[in-house]
Amino acid sequence: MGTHKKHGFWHRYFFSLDHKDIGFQYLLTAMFMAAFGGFFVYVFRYNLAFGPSDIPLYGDLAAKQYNQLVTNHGAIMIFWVGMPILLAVIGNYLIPIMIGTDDMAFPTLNKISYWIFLLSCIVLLSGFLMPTGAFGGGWTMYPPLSVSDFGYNNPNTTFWSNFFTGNTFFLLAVALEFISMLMGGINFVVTTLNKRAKGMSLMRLPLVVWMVNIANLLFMFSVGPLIAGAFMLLMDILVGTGFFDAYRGGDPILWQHLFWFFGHPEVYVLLLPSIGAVGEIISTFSRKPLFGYKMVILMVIIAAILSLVVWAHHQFVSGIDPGAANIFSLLTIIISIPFAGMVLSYLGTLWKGNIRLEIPMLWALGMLATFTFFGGFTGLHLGSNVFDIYAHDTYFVIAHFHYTLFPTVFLGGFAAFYYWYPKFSGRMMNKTLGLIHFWGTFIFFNTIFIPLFWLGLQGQHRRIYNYSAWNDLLMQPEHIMARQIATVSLIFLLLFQFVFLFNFFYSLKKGKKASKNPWEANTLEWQTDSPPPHGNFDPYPVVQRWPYDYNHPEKELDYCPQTES
Amino acid sequence: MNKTIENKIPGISIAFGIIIITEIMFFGGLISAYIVASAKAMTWPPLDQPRLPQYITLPNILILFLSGVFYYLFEKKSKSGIWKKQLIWTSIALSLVFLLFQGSEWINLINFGIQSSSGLYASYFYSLIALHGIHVMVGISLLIILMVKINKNKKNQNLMDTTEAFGMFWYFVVLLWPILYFLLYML
Ligand code: HEM
Ligand SMILES: [Cu+2]
Repeated sequence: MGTHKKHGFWHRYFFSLDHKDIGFQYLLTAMFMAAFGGFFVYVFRYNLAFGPSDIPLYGDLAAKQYNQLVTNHGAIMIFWVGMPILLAVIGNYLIPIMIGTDDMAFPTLNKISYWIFLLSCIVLLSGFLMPTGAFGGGWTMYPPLSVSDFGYNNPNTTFWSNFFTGNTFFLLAVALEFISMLMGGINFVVTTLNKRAKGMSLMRLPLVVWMVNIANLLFMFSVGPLIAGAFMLLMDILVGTGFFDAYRGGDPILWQHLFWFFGHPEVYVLLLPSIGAVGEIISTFSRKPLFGYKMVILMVIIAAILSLVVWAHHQFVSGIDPGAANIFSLLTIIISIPFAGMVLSYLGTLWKGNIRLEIPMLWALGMLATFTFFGGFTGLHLGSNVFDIYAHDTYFVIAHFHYTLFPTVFLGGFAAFYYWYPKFSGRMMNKTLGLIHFWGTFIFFNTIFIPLFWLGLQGQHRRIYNYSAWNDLLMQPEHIMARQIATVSLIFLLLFQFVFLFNFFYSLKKGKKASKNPWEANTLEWQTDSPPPHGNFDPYPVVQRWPYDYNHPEKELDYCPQTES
Repeated sequence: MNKTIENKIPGISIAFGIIIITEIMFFGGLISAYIVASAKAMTWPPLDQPRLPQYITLPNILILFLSGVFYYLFEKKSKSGIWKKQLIWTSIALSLVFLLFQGSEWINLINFGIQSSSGLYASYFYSLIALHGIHVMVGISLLIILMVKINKNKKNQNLMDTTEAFGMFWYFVVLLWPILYFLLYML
């Protein structure tokens, strides 16, 4: 590639078309949003454990604010932290350098997608400035709650007074975020199909590239009905149509169908890129070929297809037909078979491997262990309608999905971050701080959610501001104690993230210089400089083999880059 | 230059293919909601709602369809390197007629007393018509972009790919209409 100009700050962070810079912009924006999500959860968890008054750094918390914080915490963590980090950051930063090309297929579209994403963040947060306050009806936005104050239900409102509400802004923000992710996703798929380096056949693609693409396709396939539902909900709020209004012949359950048709695949959209990154890391640090590479891809495609037909397991107590509930139960339980296959393949990779416990590997193993044993396993229980009728809408569900999403977004996300940090910054992160961060996060993550499983089984409902109405049931010393353990653990978990922030910025300036290939890995991104120059490669690589030839019998070294014949 | 593998489905076609799949799922969601709603109702359309002008609207199917046909002719000619701009102009003109026709009917119906807040039937009717109308407008914008591109540089491979990709979107919009007409006016 020709000469590479150094660009100034504004150029790099605002106007660059380079996929690496855009990936970095997404990362910083998502971290900024994560700070909001983290602060919100601190406030409302503090209330649950120690009461609503005098919350340090916040003050008093009213019931309405509690609902707003819970709602926005969930939405932010899924749509503004999970999605951008796992799809946009991993996709933008890694796809071009892993397939051996200079940039995305449509760089301008990529830039626009970031700007729309930024706009969606602003719209979401400005919901808090609306006269009626931010939206507080739960991240799933079930009607009638989400329309009850507006539209037809409130004759005192006009189109514009309905427009300037947290509800409308919430919906618009989600819509903008989807547009941004769709643009990004189209870019990823086209780039992967059309811009691979010579010799990079589909069966030589690194697993994470496969996963990001499958996740994107799944997203694009499932999001349509939700956009339709969001349009209908928006019309119900703004102009008083009656799509979800039972009084005028509409059907509130319809929203649940449209939402969860998307909502269930969405959780896999988050899971797949994370599992892909974890696969790369496990193979590199076990010094062994990824066991069952093709099987994993096949299993994931099967799981992605199945995920389109399990949505009603979120609605077992919404009054759906019990016969249908049985079918959805069965399908839900079947979906764990491909995931079991995937876990098997990772365990097979670890088996008798030459394991190097570097920091990224710790995160990856932590992700695999907690996701499987607690997240997936409790999902199976909830998938059975017999059990779910009891557990639905309790903290058992909260604990279930946090044991899936936290490992996916944060444990997997940090694994990826620590693994590729040397590549994108050109420096190594401090190992001791990394260890402290890992153990602090991992231990306190578990001590937050294990008590919540127990509380859920005791019958503690979710989305409740305080439990004094259940004085005999949920205000016993052991219940209060369990809530306090969870909250104190949360505060520690949040504090340990400052170790990470410090390490991030400190190592950017002062870290040890990283070589091209500090982990001795095979994929293409490790064959170019750290950080890669504008244009990524010079000369462009020609791919000779698949990415997982570790400890190849014919090679002297225990790894063999994809470019080596 | 970057050497890449020899896969040659043009990027823009893949992109529009994906967009159309998303669109199909989007309208699929709306339409299935509509069908379920109409099946659940005692009578459909509800007795207290005015009937829609079935026959007057019928020619509109033909108009939009013809617009698609002209585009098809254009696309076919372009493959052999002939860029007949008149064909696109005709296509655009026909779709504008369609929009005007449908739009004025929409407004007339509102004056006639079908209010979107008056019930489910009207809610679906206006939403589906409006959403399709927006898609027609997007389609027209794409055709105009195409015209601009043709005026800038003729006869290159990119332009052919663009023509094909925009075509996919336009055919989708054109073919969606008869389905919506049947569901909304005939059911
Ligand atoms: C073996 C796989 C899984 C099964 C069988 C499963 C099953 C279920 C079931 C039945 C529920 C509904 C519980 C209720 O509301 O009563 C549920 C909720 C949930 N699951 Fe899973 N799940 C699985 C994996 C995952 C994964 C991988 C994720 C995310 C990465 C996830 C995220 C969620 C979320 C976010 C909710 C709750 C949504 C809400 O109500 O707010 N699940 N799961
Ligand atoms: Cu689900």
